[in-house]
Amino acid sequence: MAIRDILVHLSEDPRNGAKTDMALQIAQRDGAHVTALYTLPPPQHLFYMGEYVPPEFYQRQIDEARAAAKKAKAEFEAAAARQGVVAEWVESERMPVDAIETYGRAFDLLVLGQPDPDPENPVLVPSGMDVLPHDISLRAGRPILAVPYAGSYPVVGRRVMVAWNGSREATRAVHDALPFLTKAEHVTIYCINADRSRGTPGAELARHLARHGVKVEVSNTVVDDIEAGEALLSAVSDRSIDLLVMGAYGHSRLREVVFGGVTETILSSMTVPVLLSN
Amino acid sequence: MATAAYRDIAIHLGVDAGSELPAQLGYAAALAAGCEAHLCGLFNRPCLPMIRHYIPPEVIERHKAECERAAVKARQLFDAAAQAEGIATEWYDMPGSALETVLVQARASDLLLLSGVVPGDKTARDYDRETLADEVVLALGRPILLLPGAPKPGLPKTILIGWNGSREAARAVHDAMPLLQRATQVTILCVDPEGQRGLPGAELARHLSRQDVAAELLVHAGRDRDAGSILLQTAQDRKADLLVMGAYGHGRIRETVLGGATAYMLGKMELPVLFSH
Repeated sequence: MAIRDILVHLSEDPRNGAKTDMALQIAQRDGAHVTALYTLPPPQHLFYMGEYVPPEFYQRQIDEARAAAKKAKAEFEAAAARQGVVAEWVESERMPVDAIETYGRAFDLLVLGQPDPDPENPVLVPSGMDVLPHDISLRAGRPILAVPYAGSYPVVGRRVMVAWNGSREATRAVHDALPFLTKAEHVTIYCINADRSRGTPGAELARHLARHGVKVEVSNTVVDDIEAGEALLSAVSDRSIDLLVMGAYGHSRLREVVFGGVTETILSSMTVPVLLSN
Repeated sequence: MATAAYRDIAIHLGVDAGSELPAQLGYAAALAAGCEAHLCGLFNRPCLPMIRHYIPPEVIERHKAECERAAVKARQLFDAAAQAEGIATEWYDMPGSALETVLVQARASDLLLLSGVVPGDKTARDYDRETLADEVVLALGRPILLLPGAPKPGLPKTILIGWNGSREAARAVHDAMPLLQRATQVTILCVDPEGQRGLPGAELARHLSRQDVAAELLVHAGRDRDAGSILLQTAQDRKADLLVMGAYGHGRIRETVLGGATAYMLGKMELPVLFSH
């Protein structure tokens, strides 16, 4: 399936430019539309000023938020025009997680920012933002492309690595990543403890991907579950990978405690974009 | 223009296959031919349950012979169906439960075909096909196509999407994209338009148009628990030959589509259903 419809989440965030560039880069390659979903920050309530808060205080917050949105919109539209990509702009006052989860269901790919683990002004970060990509990947039913909180990524998807353990989640991720895999120069299936799980062997996946015209190399690794995240991160840097594809694991079941931890480890320390799916 | 494609279609065949098997294999082969996909047959030989750690040798022998007979018959029917359509195939004959076999093999495919419950078919002595479909759709990570007794072969022309704006419905629609892009008529039926969390069907129609799928939008202001019967009724009215919908957790396939009178209707309508979770 080709990517025709991309959603990028923007907010009062210094990373808007990086996220926009990522979405436009993919849109240009695949001939897709890009829709920006801008979430306005909810007004901050003051708890220390006694009983009366002047209405001007809230009004000023709202005005500032609108001004920031206007500026972001101008920047987004200018960037899209430069790249010749058809772009749309949508604003929402809902909490980012809820807005993206619902609206994102009618898109092929959601481009989100991995939050800065050490933000400049933590008070201004809306709740739920710290686990945004992981959370959305569990709830939207669509693949997420998580952009790291630092750095720029002019090339994404030339050298792709698929983290494979034969699970349902990894199966989802690899199929959602097919539009990237079919265009990649090099694809590695990185099997983690494949012999220990009862899931689908990497060789079977390689056969299947070959049918889709994807040439792959299979690599097998055996590590302690607890070190799976570290092993993955070093494999990514050793092989000059520019896109990592992996399943997103929830937190509810025991099995997922281990892999859910891997998801967070990767997301918080990754240096390349990650395609996440559940 | 179709940009999405199935390249590997799998079908599960059990030892309990009934008289509907040739028709289902014919459907599978025609689907694979229409999609230019490989067809992969997954046959499993179940183990006997242990009773007090002892099974009389003659029971084991009989079970083995039955499995062998079923395997040979299934393989013959599979090969015949494939030959009729001239498609490339693979055959996996594995020991173990149906669930294990399917979970290991079908993750490396694009779509899994499963036999649904055939009402009134006395030859089908399945241990529990509904349970299998339920468990597989939740654990597989691929869409499943549940087949009625004798589906009409060929690519589905008229497709009905059951849409309630949920994560699962979004999954089902995207997983069905290769079929949607090849259909002549696609209808989105919104069965829970008042649901606050879901996405309106109009947004889905806009999105599908970007994927070169022109869809018609129908809104039914019914309550969620009626969704199954509304869907099936609409499918019948529109003469749909495929229903696409999300699967929502344990037991729900059975409740919404396969339960009671609905199962009877499904059998009558010969309507395959694509489920995804």
